[in-house]
Amino acid sequence: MATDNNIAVSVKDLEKKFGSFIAVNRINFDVKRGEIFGFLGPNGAGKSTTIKMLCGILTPTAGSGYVDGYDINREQELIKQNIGYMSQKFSLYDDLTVEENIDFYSGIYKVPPKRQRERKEEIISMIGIEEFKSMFTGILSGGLKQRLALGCAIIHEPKIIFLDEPTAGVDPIARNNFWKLIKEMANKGITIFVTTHYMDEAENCDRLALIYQGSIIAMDTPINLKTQCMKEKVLKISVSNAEEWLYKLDKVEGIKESALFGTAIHTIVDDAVKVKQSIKKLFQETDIKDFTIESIQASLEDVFISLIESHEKVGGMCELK
Amino acid sequence: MITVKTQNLTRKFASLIAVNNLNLEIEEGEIFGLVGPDGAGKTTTMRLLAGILEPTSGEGWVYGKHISKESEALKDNIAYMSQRFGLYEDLTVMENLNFYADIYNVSLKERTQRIERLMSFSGLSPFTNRLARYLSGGMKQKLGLACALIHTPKVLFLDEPTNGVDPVSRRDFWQILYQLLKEKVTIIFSTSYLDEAERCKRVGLIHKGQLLKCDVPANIKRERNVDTLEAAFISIINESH
Repeated sequence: MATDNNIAVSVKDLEKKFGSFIAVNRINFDVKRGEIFGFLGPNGAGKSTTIKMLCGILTPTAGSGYVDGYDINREQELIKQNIGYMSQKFSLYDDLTVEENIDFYSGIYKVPPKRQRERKEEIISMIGIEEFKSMFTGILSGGLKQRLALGCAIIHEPKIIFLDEPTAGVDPIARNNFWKLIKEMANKGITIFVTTHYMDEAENCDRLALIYQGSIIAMDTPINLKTQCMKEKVLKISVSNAEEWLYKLDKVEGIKESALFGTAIHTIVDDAVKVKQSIKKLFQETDIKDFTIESIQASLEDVFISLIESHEKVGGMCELK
Repeated sequence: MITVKTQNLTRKFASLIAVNNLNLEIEEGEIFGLVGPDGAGKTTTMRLLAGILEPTSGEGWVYGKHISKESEALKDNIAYMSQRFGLYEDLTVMENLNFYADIYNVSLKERTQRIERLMSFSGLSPFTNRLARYLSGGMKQKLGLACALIHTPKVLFLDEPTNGVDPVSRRDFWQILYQLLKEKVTIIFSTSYLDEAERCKRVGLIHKGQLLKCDVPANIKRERNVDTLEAAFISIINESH
């Protein structure tokens, strides 16, 4: 039994094999109460398998874990009753109204009858869905459905909420509102465990773990990951006709990858000083005078791609300098 | 050269104005991003430009062809990839490519060479005989793109092509798009992910059928004095209410 009351989720050497395939390879991490913890990784990396073990749906093949003090190997039913879970599929009944969906989940999660009415009002006001409460769920926009799904997932006031790619296919305004709600909940001490593919979403997390081929290959705050975990540097090159220069730059030694960002080029390089010199030389030779080359902070996406590539080569975990 | 041009392009569905007096010009070889909330009119705009949907009023030309009067001729020059990729799940990778080659009347002679090129360019070669159903999201997306490119279109419409695709596959996908830019293909791309829109040369923000903003990402951010397109757009949309 995990005794530290400040830890909401704790796993030690957690492993899941399917036959000879190792889906999750002895991972370790702790999530503090009130923390927004992001779990990132490509498809098939082990994200869903981990979440399923934490939610009491899958039994690990080795290792231990505790969620809100409950043992994931032995107290799976208690875990299910005490956590909130929302997936990208939302699991709402389209042919029930908003209120009926809330009532339905209230019943499933055994909210005490005396409390049900009051709790429903709380949820409706929290997710801002007052004016739609007697509408059929099927006709709601993606953003409203998403908020309703969140409302239903927390009807029983769980202290930990698992969100599995909660905003796939939801537009930016709705996503922004959704994250405001999530942050409010975290401020009240609720722990949020979220998986996502989207880096702008990952930026909202207090801490991130990157999982790849079943292993955690980096874990830190977004800012530390961006500033300390990538060995390559990113250069931003502003020059007119950037599209054409994109291919010409491929020939410059030391450039690993280039991409267009608006009217500028971002390149990933090992040796910023050397490559800067080579590009300057190339521009001068072709009589280009109007250009700038500056080092910029890597994006989370740059960092993750770089970590995955270096993991493929050497393995191991990102070591902070 | 301007490859896409619209003049007061409008499409109504009963009382709903899905696209409202759209005026747009897109240059050859440009990556243009169409962004906006759900239901803003992104998909309707794409379908109008691809000649799939008739405008209620206004005009539009794509690669010199009028979008309603010459919608059949227009289709020779364009490709449209929808969010669902339009693949046949019970056909293999190769069968899907051949099917699209048939539809677009690609001659047998040209076909072999083109398929070979698309396969290597998209990294699909190892999966030739795999049923589309068994491909990962990222691979499906690449196959969808390869099928859309079978007739070497000049203008490519991609409707939210990276929804639900992981970062590694997304990165590969962008590298394929850059290859196309090299051949001066014009790419019009819709997305609800604004970090992705930063990659476009210019972006147009659509909200309730109207183009609220159309400029290079750097200008839009500077004007609003924010670091991200997301922050800029939320501020523009809130102001429009």
